[in-house]
Amino acid sequence: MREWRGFFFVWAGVFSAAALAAWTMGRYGHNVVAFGFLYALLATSWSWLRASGLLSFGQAAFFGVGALTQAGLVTAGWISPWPALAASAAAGALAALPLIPALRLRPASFGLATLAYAILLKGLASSVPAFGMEGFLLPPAPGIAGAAPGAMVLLGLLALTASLGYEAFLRLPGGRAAAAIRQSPETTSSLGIDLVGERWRPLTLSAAATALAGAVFAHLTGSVEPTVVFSPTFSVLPLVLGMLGGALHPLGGLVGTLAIYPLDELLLRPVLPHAHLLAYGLALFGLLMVRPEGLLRARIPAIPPSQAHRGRPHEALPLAVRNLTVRRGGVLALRDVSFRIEPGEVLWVLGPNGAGKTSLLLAIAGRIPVAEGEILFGGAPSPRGAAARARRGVGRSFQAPRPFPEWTVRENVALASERAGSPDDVEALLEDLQLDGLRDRPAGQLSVGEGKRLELARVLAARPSLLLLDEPLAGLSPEAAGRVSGLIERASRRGAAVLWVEHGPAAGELASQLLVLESGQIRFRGSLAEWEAARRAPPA
Amino acid sequence: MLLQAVVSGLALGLIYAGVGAGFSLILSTGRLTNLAHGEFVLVGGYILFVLCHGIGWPWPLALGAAALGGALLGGALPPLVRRLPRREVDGLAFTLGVAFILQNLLLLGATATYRVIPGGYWLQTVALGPVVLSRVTLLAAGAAAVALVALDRWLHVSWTGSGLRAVSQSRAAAASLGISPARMERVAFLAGGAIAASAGGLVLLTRFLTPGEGPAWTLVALAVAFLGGRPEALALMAAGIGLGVAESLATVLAGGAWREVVAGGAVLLWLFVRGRTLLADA
Repeated sequence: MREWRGFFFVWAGVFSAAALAAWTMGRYGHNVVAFGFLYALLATSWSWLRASGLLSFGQAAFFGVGALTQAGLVTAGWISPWPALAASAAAGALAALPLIPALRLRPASFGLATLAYAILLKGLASSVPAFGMEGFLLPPAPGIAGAAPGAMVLLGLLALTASLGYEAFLRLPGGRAAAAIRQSPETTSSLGIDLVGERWRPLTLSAAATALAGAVFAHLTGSVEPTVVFSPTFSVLPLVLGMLGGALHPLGGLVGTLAIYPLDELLLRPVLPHAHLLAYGLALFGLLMVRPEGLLRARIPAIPPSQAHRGRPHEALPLAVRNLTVRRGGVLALRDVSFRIEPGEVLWVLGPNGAGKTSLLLAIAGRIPVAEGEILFGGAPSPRGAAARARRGVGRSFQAPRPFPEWTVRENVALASERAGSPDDVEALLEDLQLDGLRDRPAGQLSVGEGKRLELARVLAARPSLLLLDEPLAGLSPEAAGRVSGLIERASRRGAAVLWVEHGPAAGELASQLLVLESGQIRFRGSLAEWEAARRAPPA
Repeated sequence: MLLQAVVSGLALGLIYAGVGAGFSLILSTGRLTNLAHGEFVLVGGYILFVLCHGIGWPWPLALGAAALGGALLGGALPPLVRRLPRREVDGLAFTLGVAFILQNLLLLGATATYRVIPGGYWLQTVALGPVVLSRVTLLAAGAAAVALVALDRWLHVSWTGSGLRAVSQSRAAAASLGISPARMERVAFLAGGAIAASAGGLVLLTRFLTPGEGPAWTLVALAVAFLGGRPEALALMAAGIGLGVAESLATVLAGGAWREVVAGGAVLLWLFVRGRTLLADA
């Protein structure tokens, strides 16, 4: 509630200052205010992408598409300017579609993809007549042309709406999923959250809002030239203003604009009319050297203590692995591996380094492709991809802890339980793993041992039907290891099938089966008693 | 017609490979995607233009001055880049900021006017059988090929070159052999900047200079470096020629200018197929 009050207080102040500027400075004031709101809209739309861990160096692509669409529609007389704005926003959203394959990329690679895309569209629009090569001269549009008060108010409302949308987004499950992806994509995927599926909405929304800004820009200037509207300026300005204000805060775009735009417009532009944008480059340069996170601190979406049951508990399913062969980097990591784990059963996997234990876990979790053979859950083929398998009930702990570092210990566990529909488990799990004293500490501040316990708490909170454990006891004190073993036993009694990779003997106390791997092949499969007998037997 | 397009594309591709060489060196050893590369190229081009056509310096001397200017620009980056918390992501934003600063400084100093070398002997064409090329294109393509081979030999034969290649593969392993990764990084930035600025000569010879052209040249360099994979003459030439021929054929078949479209398409395709994914570290 306090955040909402602050939010509206800031915006009320901005609108008052804008009204005063427009009233006292006449037409010039209208222009300054309209462009100020335009930049705030662009910066907020850019920042929205950052919240999902995406980085855009090519917002000019969407800006240009919006401006050209608006200019093309209005100049042809097919549609009046106001409904054309909606069409231009839709065109911007459509222009984001070719970037969907890039959503699975890391932020830097995604950023390069947007940069290449924007320059590609600029090249296309500048050389192909069908894409508006010759530019457009727009007819006057009542209420929106030039620096008319209508354009000023419209842009102010659009900037406010973008900021409001960002604030609301952070409070929705989609906002939490976006924050999870930004912090740890691997862990997010292991919770069943689809990375591309959660990222395309912020991308298309950001593209639509940026295109809308381009469409209004067309009326503000009265003419549209591809080289201008696809200019890198409209990629760099949103980035600088968003980063300056604090891209992970819904008010960051506005604050960044307020921090530099009036200075530029009122002081620099009159002195350096052709090179005043130098200030934005210098601001970005200084920002990265001094305060890379921006003026406003990141707003981390909170995970509420009590969640609605969004998911359903997973039904117990047997796992069957048949003739599994896996290649990694051209090397045979697993060859013709077969076994079966029934619900409630624990399979202990042993083997020296390089035996293929991790490859086995990754293949079952859906993280690496299978060259030959099949993996069946409950007799049915396993779905493709890690997130899809997690939704089917595969829970996986990482050998090195991979928590969501910005969220507290409780929030890390609560996010997993929210998706499994088991909110009551959170406090009990924290207590069982002696994490209750650390419940409000950001997970990024935990020691390795605490992180390993959190790792197990998060996996168990998702109530998996198949538990894939990668050395959960390594590095734990005997007492902590005992508690962890107890919880694994409880999960197996509840019906979970457990595949447990561990070097120490503790797993043997719970396991009914042992699988020994060597050079990617099964050296032994059977009960522990059979293994002991085989080891004692004199060599033939 | 098609033969003419292919041969023109081949010459163009060698020039593109020359433009991408400095970028590739900074990317591989300096671990930085330098989005200001196009502006480095333009700065070199403007230095050459002013010294040769403004003051009347001979080309070799002016080229040395341009290379020195580029080396100074490149050499200024490492101490700043080292302060960035996340080099992969912040490095992109940082160099974009540098690009924006350079672009506006160029606008301030040189205005947006297009600068081209005066016509004359070098702009005349030469017939090579059924193919016609301008002398200046031949000169630029030849100079790019010679420079690329020289760079390749330096990287493969010299002590410093092997250090640069070692650091590009594994900083830790190189350090364990007594090679200083920080020193090699400085060398990569100095040499990369000098090569980029020298490539400004290729741009000045074959096209034109204007401050807004920086991003397009950065994109060309990005495409050459991604497709080439490493700063080796043959790899860079193959990548550049692939781009040049594709662009040349597109121009013949569809008309218009396709440099940004071809380079942008190549970068996008490469990223879609080979880009580092969020879940790459399994």
